[in-house]
Amino acid sequence: MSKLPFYLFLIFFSFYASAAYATSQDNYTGHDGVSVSTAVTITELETVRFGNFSVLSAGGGDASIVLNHNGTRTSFNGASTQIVLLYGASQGGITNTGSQGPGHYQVAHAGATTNLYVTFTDHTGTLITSCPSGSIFLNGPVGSGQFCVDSFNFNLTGTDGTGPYITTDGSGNATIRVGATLHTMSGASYAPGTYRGTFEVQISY
Amino acid sequence: MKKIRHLIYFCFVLLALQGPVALACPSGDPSCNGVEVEPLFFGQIVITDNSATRSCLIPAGGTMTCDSQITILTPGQYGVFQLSGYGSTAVWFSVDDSTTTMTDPAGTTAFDVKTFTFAPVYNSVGTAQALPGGTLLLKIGATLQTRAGETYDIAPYHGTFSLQINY
Repeated sequence: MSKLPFYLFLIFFSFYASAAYATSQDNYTGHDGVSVSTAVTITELETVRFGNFSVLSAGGGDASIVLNHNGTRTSFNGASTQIVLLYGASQGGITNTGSQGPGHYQVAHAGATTNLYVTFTDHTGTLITSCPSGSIFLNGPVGSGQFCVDSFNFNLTGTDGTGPYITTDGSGNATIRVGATLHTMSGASYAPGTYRGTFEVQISY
Repeated sequence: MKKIRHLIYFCFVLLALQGPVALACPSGDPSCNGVEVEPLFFGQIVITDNSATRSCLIPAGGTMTCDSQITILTPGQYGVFQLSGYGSTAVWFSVDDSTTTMTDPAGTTAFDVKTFTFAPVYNSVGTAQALPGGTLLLKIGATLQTRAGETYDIAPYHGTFSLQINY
């Protein structure tokens, strides 16, 4: 009888030892994923061209040319400054055109039927808003004034909460046609010549 | 002297009873729980050269990096599990990575997912870790591996893994 506690100890210790070194296992399912894309390329096929025109009574910042992404252009005269659109081969363009045209930007490798959100920025990546600030400028002959360009538009497929977009074709390609609006600037005089500027087309998807 | 001996026996009995209590949450016990808070996501990538196996690493709690032949468009994110109900039980974390893959929607092309890591880590995987207060946000990292020569079409690739907890 006096050894009963000892045997009880052995029983409990054995139970403890077996319990302490038994292992249990739980399993929980986790999820993993990755999205594979390709390196999208954008190639400029044509620049944005406002074509041939003359500026009358320069000095007012109130005349403009609206170039649509489909290639049509319309001039708007201000109270002080007027713009005359020039056409014909004698003006350096193809007959019946004024050498104007939308910009063409070829997007490739973007994935089939992918919505590409298009924005336009200056060379610093700042979004182009409206003239004269927040826009880009065209520079011409030395001593001449600048034209201001804003209101970029393109052949969008649609617009959603993220912004306007163009949808690629089944091969992941899209051609973005770009138009914009040119403005004369107050106090500027414009010598005959070619005026150029740069902007950037950005796409996100 | 006899009382002292009985006291010692009593202590042994208490010690013996502590064994099964320490296993606070046997498998199947509803008080133990593991919830996936964040999936393990390797982001949006572009594979520029897959002539050999390429990889991306997401450390548990760290920032994703890839071989130079993989461009990261959007960085990935380590996975997070919330474990609860384990009391002060020592546990071991592991994932069997022998069959863990991520496949495209058609199930024809796959990435391998290897070398799962965990944080917080006191020593290394397999080391007993006591969960403070029984609850732990466990961060899970891993390595994505391409299969050399495989063409990975543009698509989301998904898979699952089994987080195993032993105690």
